Amino acid sequence: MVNPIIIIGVTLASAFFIGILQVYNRIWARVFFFLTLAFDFLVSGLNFYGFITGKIAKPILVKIGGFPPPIGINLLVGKAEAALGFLIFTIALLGAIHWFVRGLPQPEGKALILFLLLSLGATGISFTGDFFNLFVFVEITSIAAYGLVASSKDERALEAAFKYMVIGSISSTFILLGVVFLYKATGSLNMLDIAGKLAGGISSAVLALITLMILAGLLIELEVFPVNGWALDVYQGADPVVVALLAGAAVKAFYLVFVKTAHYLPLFSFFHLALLFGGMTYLVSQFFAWRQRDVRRLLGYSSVAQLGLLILAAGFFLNPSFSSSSRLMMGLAMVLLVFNHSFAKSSLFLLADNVKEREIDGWRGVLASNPVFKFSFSTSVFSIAGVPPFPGFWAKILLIFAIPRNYSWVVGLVLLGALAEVVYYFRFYRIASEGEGKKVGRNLASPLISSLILIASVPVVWGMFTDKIHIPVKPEILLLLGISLLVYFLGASRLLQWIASLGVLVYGIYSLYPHIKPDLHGFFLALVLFGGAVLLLATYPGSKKLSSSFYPAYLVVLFSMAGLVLSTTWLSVFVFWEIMSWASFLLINMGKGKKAAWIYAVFSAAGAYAMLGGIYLLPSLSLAPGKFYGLLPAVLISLAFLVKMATSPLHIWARDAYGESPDEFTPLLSGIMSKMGVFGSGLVFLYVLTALSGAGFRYLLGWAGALTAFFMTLLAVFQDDLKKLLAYSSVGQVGYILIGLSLFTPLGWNAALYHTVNHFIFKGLLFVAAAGIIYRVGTSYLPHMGGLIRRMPLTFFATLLAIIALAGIPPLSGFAAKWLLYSALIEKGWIFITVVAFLASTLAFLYCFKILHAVFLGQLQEENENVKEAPWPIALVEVILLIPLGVLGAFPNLLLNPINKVLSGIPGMENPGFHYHKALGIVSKLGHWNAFFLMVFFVGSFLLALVFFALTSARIRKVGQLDVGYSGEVPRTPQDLHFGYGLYDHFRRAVKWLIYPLVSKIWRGIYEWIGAFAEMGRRIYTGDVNTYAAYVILISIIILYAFTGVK
Amino acid sequence: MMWAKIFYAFLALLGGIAYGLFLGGVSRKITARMQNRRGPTIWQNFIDLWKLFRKKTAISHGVMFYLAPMFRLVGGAGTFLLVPIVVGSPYLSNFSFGGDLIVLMYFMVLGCLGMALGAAESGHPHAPIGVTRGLSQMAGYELPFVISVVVLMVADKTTSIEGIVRAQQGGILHWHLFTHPFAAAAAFISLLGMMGSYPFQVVLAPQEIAIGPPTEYSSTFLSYMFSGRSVFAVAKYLLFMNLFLGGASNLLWAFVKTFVIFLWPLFITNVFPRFRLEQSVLFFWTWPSLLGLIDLVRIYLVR
Repeated sequence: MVNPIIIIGVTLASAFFIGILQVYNRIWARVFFFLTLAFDFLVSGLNFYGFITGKIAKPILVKIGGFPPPIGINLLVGKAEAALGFLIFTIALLGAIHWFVRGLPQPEGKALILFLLLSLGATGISFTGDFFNLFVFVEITSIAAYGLVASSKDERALEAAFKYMVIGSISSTFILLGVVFLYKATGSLNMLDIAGKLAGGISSAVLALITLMILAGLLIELEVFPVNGWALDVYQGADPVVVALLAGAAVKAFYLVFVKTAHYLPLFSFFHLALLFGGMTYLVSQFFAWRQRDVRRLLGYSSVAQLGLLILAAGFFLNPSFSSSSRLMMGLAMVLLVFNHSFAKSSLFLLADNVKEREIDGWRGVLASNPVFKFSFSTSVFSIAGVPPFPGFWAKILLIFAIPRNYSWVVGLVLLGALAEVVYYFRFYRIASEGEGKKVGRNLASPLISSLILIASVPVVWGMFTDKIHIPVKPEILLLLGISLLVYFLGASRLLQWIASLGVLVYGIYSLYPHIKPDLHGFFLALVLFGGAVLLLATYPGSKKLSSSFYPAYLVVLFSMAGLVLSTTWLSVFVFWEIMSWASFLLINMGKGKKAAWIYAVFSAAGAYAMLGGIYLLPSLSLAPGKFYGLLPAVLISLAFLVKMATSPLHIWARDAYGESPDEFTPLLSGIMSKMGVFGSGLVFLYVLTALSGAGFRYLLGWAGALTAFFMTLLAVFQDDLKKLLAYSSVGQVGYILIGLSLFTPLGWNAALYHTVNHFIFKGLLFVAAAGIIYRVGTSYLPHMGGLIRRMPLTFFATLLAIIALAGIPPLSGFAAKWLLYSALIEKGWIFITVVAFLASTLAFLYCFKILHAVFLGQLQEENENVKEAPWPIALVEVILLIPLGVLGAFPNLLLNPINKVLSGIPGMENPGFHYHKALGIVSKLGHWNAFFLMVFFVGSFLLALVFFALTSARIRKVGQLDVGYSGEVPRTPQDLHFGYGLYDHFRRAVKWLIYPLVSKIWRGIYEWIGAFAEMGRRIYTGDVNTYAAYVILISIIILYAFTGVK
Repeated sequence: MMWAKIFYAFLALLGGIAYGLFLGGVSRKITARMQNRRGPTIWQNFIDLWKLFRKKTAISHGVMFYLAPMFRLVGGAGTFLLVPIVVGSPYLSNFSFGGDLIVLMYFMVLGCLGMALGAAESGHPHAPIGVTRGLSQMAGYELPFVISVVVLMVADKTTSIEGIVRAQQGGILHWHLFTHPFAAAAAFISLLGMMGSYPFQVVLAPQEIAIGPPTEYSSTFLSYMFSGRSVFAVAKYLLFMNLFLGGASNLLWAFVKTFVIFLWPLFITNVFPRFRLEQSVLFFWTWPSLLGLIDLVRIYLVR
C-alpha cells in the first residue's frame, strides 16, 4: 500500500519543478515529466493491485496534517477510487507516449505542466473525501483543462476553450455554492461525516436544494443534454491527447464523485434525475451522431452518449428499492462500461490524430494502409459498439438484465441507442475500410490500448462464461474458439492456414461428436459440423490472395454456430448469435462490398438487440417449454432469426452481402448460417409460444415465408450477377423453410428440416461451383459468360443436378421437400399460401434456366477460350455434394427417418404424418409418392431410350459452335449469336409493377428521415456561448421545480 | 405382377404416342378445313415421324444437345404414365402408384427442362428466346392452374389423381366441371397456354423466331422430340379428363373425353392472333386467376 497523498504530492511538486527545469533543459524536463507519470502509474497500479488481490482490505483513509475528519481535509481511497486513479494515470501515460511519438504541442513547458495538473486534479476529485477539497480539485482540473484546450493552435480550440471556461465556471460556482450551503446546514464538509449526520433522517427542502446544486454542477461537467455543447466543441477542437485524457479519464472522475454525492446525500429522487438526464442524453446523442461528418465530433457525441448511459446506470445502481443482486450487477456493468469507454475512446481520439482529414470521407483507405492502425481501430470501434468478446458487449448484457421488470421501457431505450451506435460506428468503419491505402501518422499508444482491451477481455469472457453461459460443452467450445484465433498466426501461407483449419475442424468434430443426439440441437450440430467441414474443404482454390483473418473468422463462425445450437439458455443463444453475426460481418467485410457489410451489420444488430429485449421479457432464460408469456417476446426474439433468414421485408441486406462477400465464404453463409435462423425460429415456436397461443403469429410468418419465396424468386429472375442471383434464390428457398416451420405440424416440420439439409446441399454446391466459375472466368457477370459446358463439364454436371434439386423436380433430392410442404399446407388448409408457394416455385424455373444457360450454354465467348475446369478442391466438394443429392432422391427416408427421430422428442409431433408403403412409397393422409420407383423409372427408361437412340440414329456429325442455321447468314463471332443479356426483358414488362423496389425505398427513407431529424435536432447547439449558458439556466430551473418541493 | 404392370404401361405408352400423333394429324386437318384448304391426311404426323426417324444424317452441338431428346421423350412418357387412363382398371392405371398430382406437376417439368437445355446448347439465339418465353408463359398459366388444382385437392381432401376421380363418381353433375365451374374454367384457360395455342403461341412463334427452342434439331433427334411432344399432349388431356370430366370408365370414354378436351384449344387457336409475352402473362394472372380465386375463396369458406 502506498499512501495516495504521495501521488498527489509528487505530481504537484514535479509540475512546479518542470516549470523551472524546462527553462534550462527541455530534454530533461521531458524526461522528468515522463518519469513522474510513470511513477504515478506504478504507484496507483500497486494500490489497485492491492485492492483486487485483497491485500488492502479496507479503504485507505488519509488524514492530512493528522487532523481528524470533521476538521481536517482527508482522502478516502477505496476500490473504485484506486481503480479510477490507475485508469487516469494509464491514459495519461499513454497520452504522453503519443505526444512523444507525434511531437509535443507548443508552448511545450506549459503543456507539460498543465497535463500533469489535469491528471492530478482528476485523481484528486476521485480521491477526496471532503466537499470543499472537491471544489478545489474541480478548479485545478478545469483550469488546467482550459489551458490545455486553448494551447492548441487551432482556432476552433481557442473558441472551445472560451466556451468551456464560461460554462465550467458556472458549474464550479454551482458546486461552490452548494458546498457553502451544505456547510451552513450541516456544519461539516466531510463526506462521510455528512452522510452519517443525514442518515439520521434529517431532510428538508433546503438540503435537497443544496444537493441539487452540487449535482447540477456535476451534471454540467458530465456533459448532459442539452448543456453539453461546450464539450462537443472541445472534443472537436482540442488536441486529441488532451481530449483522450478528458473524455477517457477526467470525466470519469466527475462521474465517480457524482455517484458518491448522490449516495452520501440521498435527499430526493436521484433515480428520476438520473433516468431523465441520463436517458435523454444517451438517446439524443446516439441519434445526433447519425449523420455527423466530422470524425472528432462524432466521437464526441459517442462519449456524451456513453456518459448518459453511465448516469442512467447510476440511477438504478443507487436506487435502494431494487434488489441488491440486480444493483450489484448494475455496478459491474458500470465498471465494465467505464473501463471499456475510457480505453476504447481514448484510443480512437489518438487515432483521429493520425489522420489529417477531419471529415469522415477523408478516412477512406486508412485501414488498408497499415495493419497496426487497422488492429487498433477495429478493436476500439468494436469494443465501443459492444461487439463480443469485448467488455462493452458484456456490459450491455449485464446492464439490461440489471434493470427491474417494471422499467422495461428503459431496456428498449438502451437497445435503441445501442442500435444507433452500431449504425454510425459501422458507417465510420465502412468508410475507413473502403478504398486503397492511405498514409496515416505513426501511433504507438493506440495499439497498446487496444492490446490492453484485448487482454482485459479474456478474464471478462472467462468470468461471464463461468457465470452466465450455459451449454453442455463450455470448455470444448471455448478451447475451439481459442484455437481458431491462433490460425491467424499462420497467415503467411494460405495453404498452411487451410490445412490447419481443417485440422481444427476435425478436432472440433472429434470433441463435439458425442453431442450429436437425436434432438433438434443434435440435428443442427451435425449440419454445422459436417456441412462446415465439406464447405471448408472448398475454400482453397489456389493462389488467390485472402486476408489472414479469413480462416480464424471462418472457424469462429462455425464454432459459434456449434455453441449456438448446443445452448440450453436463451442468454447463451444470444451470446453465440452475436459472436456468429460479428465474425460473419468481418468475413463479409473482406469482400468488395463494404456497404453491404455495413447494412448487414446494422440489420444483424437490430435483430440481435430485439432478441435481447425479447429474452429480457421472458421470466426464465432456460430453453424449456413453458407457459405463454405474451406475443411480444416471441416477436422480438424472432426478429433476429428472421433477419438472418432474410425474410421479407428484412431481406434487403442479403443480396449484396451474399453477392459481394468473399466467394470462399458465401457457401457457408447461405448453406449453413441462414439455417441458424431456422433453428432459432424453431426454438421460438417450441419454447416461447405454445401450440395454441402462437397460431396467429405462425400464420403471419407463414405468409412472410410465402411472400419472401415469391418476391425473392421474382427478383432472382432479373438478376444478372451470378452470386446475387443465387443470393435471392437462397433467400427465397429459406422462405419455404419458414412456411414449413410455421405450419407447426409434423408434416410441415418434416418439410422444413428436410429442406434445411437439402438446401444446404444444393445451395452449398451452387455457391461452391460459382466460386470455381468466378475464379476461372474472373467475373460474376452472367452476360460475359456462356458456353462453359465445353470447358467446365464437371461443374456443369454438378450445377445441373443442383439446379434440378433446387427446382424440386423429381427424381432428385429436392422434390421431397416440395411434396411434404404442399401436402402439409393442404392438410393444414393454408390454401392461399399453397398457391403463392406453388407459383413461386414455378417462377424459380425461370432463373434455374437462366443460370444454366447464361453460364454454360449458348456460345462460348472468345475471352473464355482458355478457361479450365474448377480447381481440384472445388471439384472435389462438388462431387462430394452430388452423392447425397442423388441418394436422397431415391431414398428420402434416409433423411426423413432421422428427422422423425428428432421430432419424436417434441410433444405433439410424435406421429410423422406419413408412413411407408411397399408400392406407393411415402403415403400421407392426402396422397403418395414413390421416390425410389421414380428414380428407377427415370434412369432406366432414360438409359433405354439412349441406347435405342444410339443404335438407330442417323450418322451424327458434331459441328462448330458458330454453325447454326441462321437465315443463311454466316455469323463471325460468338457475340453475334449469344443471347445472354436481358434474358427476361419480355417478362419484366409483365411484372414491372411487382418488382418496384418498395421495401428498400422504405428502409432507405427511414434511414434518411432519422438522419434529417438528427440534423434538425443538432441545431440546438448553436455554437454560441450565450445559448449554452441559457441552457444551463433552463436545466437548473427544470431540476429545481421537478425534483425539489420548491414551488 | 410388376412385370405385367410394366408391360401394360408400355402398351399404353405406345398407344399414347400413336394417339398423340393422330390428334396432331386431326388438328392439321381441321385447321386446313377451317382455312378452306384440303390439308394433309390425318396420318401425316406418322409419316413425318417415320421420315425423321429414317434420316441418314444429323448434326449435334454437344452433350446436352444430344441428350435433350431423350429427356423430352422420357419426360413426356413419364408424365403420361403417371396419369391413370381408367381408374381402377389393372391394365389402364399406368404407373399411377408412382406418385400423386403434386409429383406429376413437378415431373412434367423434367422433360421440358432437358429440352430447353439441349436447345440452349445449340448456340442458336432463337432457342433461348423461345425457352425464356416458354418459362415466362408457364409462370403465367401456372397461377390459374394451381389455383384450380388446389381447389380440387382441398375439396376432395386428397392429392392423388385416383382420389380426385373417385370423388367425381355418381353422375355427370358430380364432375368438377360442374361442381367447381370457376376452377374448371380457370384450368381450361390455362390449358390454352400449356398447349401453346394462339393467342398464347409465343414459344414456337413461327413467324418471329423460326420455331424457337427446337430450331437446331433435325432428323432422329427431332423424331424423339416429336414423339415426346405428342405423348406429353395426350398426358395433359388425360389429366384434365381425370381432374374435371370425371375420369373414364373405359377406353372409349377416355377417347371421347380427351378428344373433346383436345378440340378446345384447337378451336381457340384458329380464331386468334398472337399475344406478346407480357400480355399473355398478365392475361393469365388476371382473368382466369380471378375465376379460379372465386372457387378458392368458396372452398376456403365452406371448408
